[in-house]
Amino acid sequence: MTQALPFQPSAPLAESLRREMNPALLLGALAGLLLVLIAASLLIGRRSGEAASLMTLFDTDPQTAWLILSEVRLPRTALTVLVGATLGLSGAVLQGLLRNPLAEPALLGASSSAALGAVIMFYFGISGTLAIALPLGGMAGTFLATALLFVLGGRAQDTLTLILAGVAINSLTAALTSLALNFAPNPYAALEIIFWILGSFADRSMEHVWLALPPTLIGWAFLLSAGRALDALTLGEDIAATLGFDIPAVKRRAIIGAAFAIGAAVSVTGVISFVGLVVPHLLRPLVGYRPGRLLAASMFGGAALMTAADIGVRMVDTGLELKVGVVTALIGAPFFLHLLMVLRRARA
Amino acid sequence: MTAIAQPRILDTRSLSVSLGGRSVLSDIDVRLTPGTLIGLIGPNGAGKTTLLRALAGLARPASGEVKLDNRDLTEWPRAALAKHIGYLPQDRAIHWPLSVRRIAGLGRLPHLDMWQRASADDERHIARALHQADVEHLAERPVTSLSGGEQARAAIARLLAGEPTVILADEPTAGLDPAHKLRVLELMRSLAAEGRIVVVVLHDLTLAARYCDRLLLMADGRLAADGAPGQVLTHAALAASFGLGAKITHEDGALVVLPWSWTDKPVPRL
Repeated sequence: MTQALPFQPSAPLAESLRREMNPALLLGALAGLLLVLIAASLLIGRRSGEAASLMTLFDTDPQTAWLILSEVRLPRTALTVLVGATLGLSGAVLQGLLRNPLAEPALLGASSSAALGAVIMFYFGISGTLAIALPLGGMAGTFLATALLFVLGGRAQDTLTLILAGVAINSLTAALTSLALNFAPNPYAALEIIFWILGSFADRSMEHVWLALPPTLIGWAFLLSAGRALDALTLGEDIAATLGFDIPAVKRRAIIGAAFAIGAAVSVTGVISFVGLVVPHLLRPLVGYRPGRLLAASMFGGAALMTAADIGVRMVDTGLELKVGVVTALIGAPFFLHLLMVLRRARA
Repeated sequence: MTAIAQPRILDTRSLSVSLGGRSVLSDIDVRLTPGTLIGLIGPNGAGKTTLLRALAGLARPASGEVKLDNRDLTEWPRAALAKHIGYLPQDRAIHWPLSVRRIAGLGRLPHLDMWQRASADDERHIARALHQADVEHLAERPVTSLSGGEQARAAIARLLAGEPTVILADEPTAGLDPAHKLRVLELMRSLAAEGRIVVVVLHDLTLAARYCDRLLLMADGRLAADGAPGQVLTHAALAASFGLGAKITHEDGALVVLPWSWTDKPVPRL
């Protein structure tokens, strides 16, 4: 009956980061941080020192400076905010809904299936003639994967079933993506797909932003509407139902919301994993572990982390472009392992 | 917030429920009224929990109906029904380390609109519920750090914070120490006396006899007996339904049922 929980502080980290904050103060702080990061993202280019040069460029050649700002930096920054907020929010919703801190869009196959949907559109050349096909393919992929996930592991709350369901969906989408690569008309097409899946915000235009924005906003609305129900679900599905929540409807709304938002995000940026895992986990103590309050905080937190990560990959001077999706996976996977071990210790 | 009208009757007509193709409840006719504490007893697997879930609107009848104030539960608007029914399941698992006060606060959700914050009135009900369940001193503790019995009391606080007019509690005393068992049952009895319909599943037959004014004895998915404790807790009924030989005595005017021996007279259902 008593279930040990995995969120007891595992190591004596900064105690203040584990204590509940005033909600308005927390959101204000996160929004402030995000604004600073947005400003930095708009000013900082691929090589360090460009921030200063963009400022001087405004004096010498304002037209070029504006062009860089509006055509290069603005779409890139807008996408980091949209995608980061989507990942943070959908991670928080999935974790609340499944009452499992390990739920995460990429781990559960929602992101890879969106990528598959987009790859199919890409592959058959549909996206070439119809730009909207890419996000539509992504949304369809996420929708199918998330629905399948709830069928496979939604009722059972144990972590194992859930992770296994995610593994199954991820393997299936990986196999189908490999199939597409296998029959790619030429190596360059295959390479293009692979690089796109890695996840990056580089070289995106405002067209991408306008393509992703409407479905993202629709998805957010669906996901945010789950807040109260997620609070009630703290007590389990039966009690939540007697508290007046239509749980199947809540699940449907979450699946639709995740499909819209993640499908749109992945179809313009590729797969970026672990942001949806890390952000809700770090912010949860600050909202007093309330699943509903976690949603808005995770949106801001996700957007801030994503923007910071993208600034980071621009500042690191590597010969080839470092994909931000690679970086989040490099940092996120060990974090996931750590979380898994903490959880096991707590259950032992 | 104005108190909602007390219900007059919760009843079932030829209620049958199947789970996974197996009939779990068959042909239950029961009329539950306010004023008295109603105990639901019976051996494991007799269908007590399923009946309670059906009364809460959680288990869908295969046939028959469940009505609150002569209106089928399925016809009640979800939000209106939620204000009436307080359901306490056996499974007290709480999935995040929220404070006890916040857990109790979740009981107020039926009274809040989508984006509405808890009002001073809600806070008052939460404070009252914490007091009634004797968890005031634990209010700011994360519920997951409490002992099993304390968690069970936090769950009761959540139940009471919602001011349900119909209380359906599945083993509310499970895991509690003896003194708290008595306190919880006294509380349930007083809630019933205030005009609520209160049904509690109990395994301790002595406690059931002492605190309940009416007992429903279930066996094999059917209602085997329905009446005052003295009428229901007979040697014959206990042998037939539980396969139990008991010593039945009186103490201070109350029935004491001491489980003493078992028989395998009735074939136990698996």
